[in-house]
Amino acid sequence: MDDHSPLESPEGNWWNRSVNRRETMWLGISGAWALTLFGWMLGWTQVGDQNQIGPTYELSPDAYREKVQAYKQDSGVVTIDGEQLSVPPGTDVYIGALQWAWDGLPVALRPGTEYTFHIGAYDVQHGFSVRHADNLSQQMSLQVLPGYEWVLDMTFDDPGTYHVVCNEFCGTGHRSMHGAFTVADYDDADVTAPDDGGQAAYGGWFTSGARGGTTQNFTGAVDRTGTDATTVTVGAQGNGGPYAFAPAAIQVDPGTTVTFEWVSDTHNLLVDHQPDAGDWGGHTSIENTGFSTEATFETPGVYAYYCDPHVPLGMKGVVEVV
Amino acid sequence: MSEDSDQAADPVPWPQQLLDSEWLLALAAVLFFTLSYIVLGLVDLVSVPTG
Amino acid sequence: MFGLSTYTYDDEGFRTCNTTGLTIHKSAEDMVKLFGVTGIVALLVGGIFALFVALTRWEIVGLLGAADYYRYLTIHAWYLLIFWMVFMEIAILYVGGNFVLGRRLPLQSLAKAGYALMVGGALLITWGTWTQSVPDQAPLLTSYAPLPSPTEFYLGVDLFLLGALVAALPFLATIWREKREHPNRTLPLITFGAFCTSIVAAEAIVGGLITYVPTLAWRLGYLAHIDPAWYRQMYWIIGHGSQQINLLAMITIWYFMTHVIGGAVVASEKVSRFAFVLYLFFINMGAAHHLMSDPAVGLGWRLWNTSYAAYGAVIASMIHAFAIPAGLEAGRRRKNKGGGLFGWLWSAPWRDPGFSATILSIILFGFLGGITGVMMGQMQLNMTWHNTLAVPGHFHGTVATGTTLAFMGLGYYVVRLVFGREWIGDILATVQPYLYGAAMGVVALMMMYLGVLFGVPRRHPSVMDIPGTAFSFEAATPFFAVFGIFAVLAIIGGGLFLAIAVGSLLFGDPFDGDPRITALRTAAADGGEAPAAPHHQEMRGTFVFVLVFFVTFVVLWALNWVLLAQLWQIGP
Repeated sequence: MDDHSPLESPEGNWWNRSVNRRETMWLGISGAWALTLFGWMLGWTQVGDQNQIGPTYELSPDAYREKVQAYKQDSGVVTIDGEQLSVPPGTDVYIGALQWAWDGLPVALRPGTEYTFHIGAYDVQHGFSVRHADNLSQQMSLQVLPGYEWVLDMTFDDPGTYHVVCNEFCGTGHRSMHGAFTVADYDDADVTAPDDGGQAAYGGWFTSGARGGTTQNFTGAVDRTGTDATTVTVGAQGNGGPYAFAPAAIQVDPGTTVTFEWVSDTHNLLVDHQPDAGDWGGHTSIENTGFSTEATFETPGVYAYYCDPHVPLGMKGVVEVV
Repeated sequence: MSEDSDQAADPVPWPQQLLDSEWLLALAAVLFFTLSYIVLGLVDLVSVPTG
Repeated sequence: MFGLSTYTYDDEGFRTCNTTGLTIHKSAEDMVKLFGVTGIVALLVGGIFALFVALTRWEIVGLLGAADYYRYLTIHAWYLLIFWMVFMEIAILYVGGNFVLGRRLPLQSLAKAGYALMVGGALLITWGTWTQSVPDQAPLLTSYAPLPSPTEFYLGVDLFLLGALVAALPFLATIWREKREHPNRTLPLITFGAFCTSIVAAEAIVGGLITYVPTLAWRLGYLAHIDPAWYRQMYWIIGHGSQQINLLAMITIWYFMTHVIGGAVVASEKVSRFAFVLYLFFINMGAAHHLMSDPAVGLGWRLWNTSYAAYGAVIASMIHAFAIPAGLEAGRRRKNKGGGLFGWLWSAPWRDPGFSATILSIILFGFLGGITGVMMGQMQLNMTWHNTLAVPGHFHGTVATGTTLAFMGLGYYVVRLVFGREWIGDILATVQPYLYGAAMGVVALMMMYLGVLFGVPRRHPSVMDIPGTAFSFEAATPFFAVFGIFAVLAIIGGGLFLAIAVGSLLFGDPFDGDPRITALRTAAADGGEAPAAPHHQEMRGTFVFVLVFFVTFVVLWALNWVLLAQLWQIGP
């Protein structure tokens, strides 16, 4: 056949055959280009502004969801161009991807401020794809996984609306998964603080910031106005055992008589604080099931009390005379 | 039939012997890939801290 | 097999090919026909589904609704990216091994068993996808856990992968026996290329089994949890690795076709073989390209793997990009086929669809596929490419344009040299590779434009009407129109290939040899001294081409970094 054919075995010491001058030059160019490509990519991690580098944490999707919910509860609200946007409490921005929405969005961010973004998914893989509404080529995408929280810093210099679409197939609702955030210089004065309907009520009496632990069975004040006698059970099930006042907080009219009925053992009533003119002494002795005592509350205000042995577990209560 | 071909008595250069050792090359390549891509990647995955 | 061939065998089952001079045994040729024809059938199915996909993303037509879109997209992807490719590649292994070495195919029952597993797996994948219903979702190509796909799908994938592995064994056994019988002989370059292809394939397939066997167990309820980060890392060994098989097979074909039809010689055995070895070691690391914008995997791992070990594999690609045209130039100059800078190229057989498909494959793969692959693999640039339409744009440049053209070119010569049939269609056969290559090239360009410059996402049936929002990608509409029109043209070009190939098998005249190719063989034998060795030949025409390629590479790469620099600040 033909010599130097790719179909035939080359004979002799083909390693020693010289290489065409131009092929050698090209080898040099290729080697230099390879080094350039690698060096540039490496160098950009040091001097470039766009590097998708940030720590990752492993946690259950539910745990991540809770982080996002806590963040949302602490977020304020601002209205820009008629749209209500949440305002992050600090510089952390939490975003949860789920079938089929972006939890945590829409959010208002300040231009030029460095934010710490947290992205994670609640269910399946999603694609966090962001672009500037007025400049579609200013866009980037990151993968969002369930079970992982990725933390990356981002600073947006260009004000405007940024649209988020999901670009990883996540089921039939995939194409409807849209979110947005606005970068604008909003006024702090225009921000409505986070809703205090939660644990921040009663000066934080039910949180672990006050005496003892968090009162988990507190879900808001129960309205007991419109009557002159009402009952609170002592040692009801709650806070991880028979360690609750039920209801934890009641609102009553002035002059209402509240009966405290023990439904389990080893509890007392100590008063932490009350209105200046109030004179409630609580019930300092430890009592057991079946015991009851009553008190009439005249002076308007908040009467905060607790059970001494179980306050570390959150056994706390409030009578609010309105 | 190259005019550069050496006499049968000349030893084969070692790079040529290496390029002619296909099974050795295959084994080395598979080991390298397993290490570079799979093992080092798994090391990264298992060292993700809990959040 | 099939009874369509005009060739006959001697008593031992051998025949000699008058065009290539190769000695071919019936056992190998039967399997080449079986796997090759199956590949063509896959091309047909995938091409039909391509029409549905293209006419949906071209929203003026908007053919399919969302639910159907994902199902059709899945079939389109599996039939073209996997079945069309892998069936052809098994055939290519048998050609590169058994045909080139003139050997019988050993372990023939394994070849057939592998085939059965592959077909069975492919049918299960198709069935599972077609009958998909909630809670399962359409698998697409990637079936990312924990989004569940139909159980039949996972089982089908496991069977298909196993089948491909089994079908590769007779090739490996061939190489084993050849090396044992002739320990001091160097394998021909094409066989060496086929061998590297088979090892890259084995890596990819084993990675796929590591991914899909546990995932099947998870889908069946035997495994409680599949970690999505682990899934992605393992999946992309088969996800990207399967396409790297295409790369090596295609390059092996380039050497084969340029030699047989164009008279190319090997410019430098050591340089080309060294390049194949660089691929062998580094090419599958490119699976990491898909994890650049992922959490969990670290910076060092990403940089090392995405760069194919500091771009070792890119050096390999650039070597072949020179060596193949250089071999053609040197080969043709030695045969007095053209002087001057490019005479050797203008005098080449551009009317031969096998030749034109091969050259178009080289050019389009390099410019459209290769350059963009390196760019989007650069870690930071990846952020602007990840999951946009530019990703399918890239692989329509590599696979749908480059590798498919190469396989079409080979297909034309399988018709002639394996089935012994001449092509029907005359001018249509000449025009087909140009039509397909140009059209599909424009399609790939449009998708990349849409993805990088407009951020249009992939895996969406439509983007002009995101429900419940006023936001749309309106500005991109004209590019979608060009995309749609040229996609239809490309599908017609593909259909034309199928019509010519199948028509030639059924109705073509017996192939009597090509006088032009025969003339190439005897060119060196007509009087005068033997021509100078390849490395003494001028390679300046090739050098000009690769410099143009290099400048294009640098410019496009730089533009991408300029585009990235306008993005907001991300990272430390």
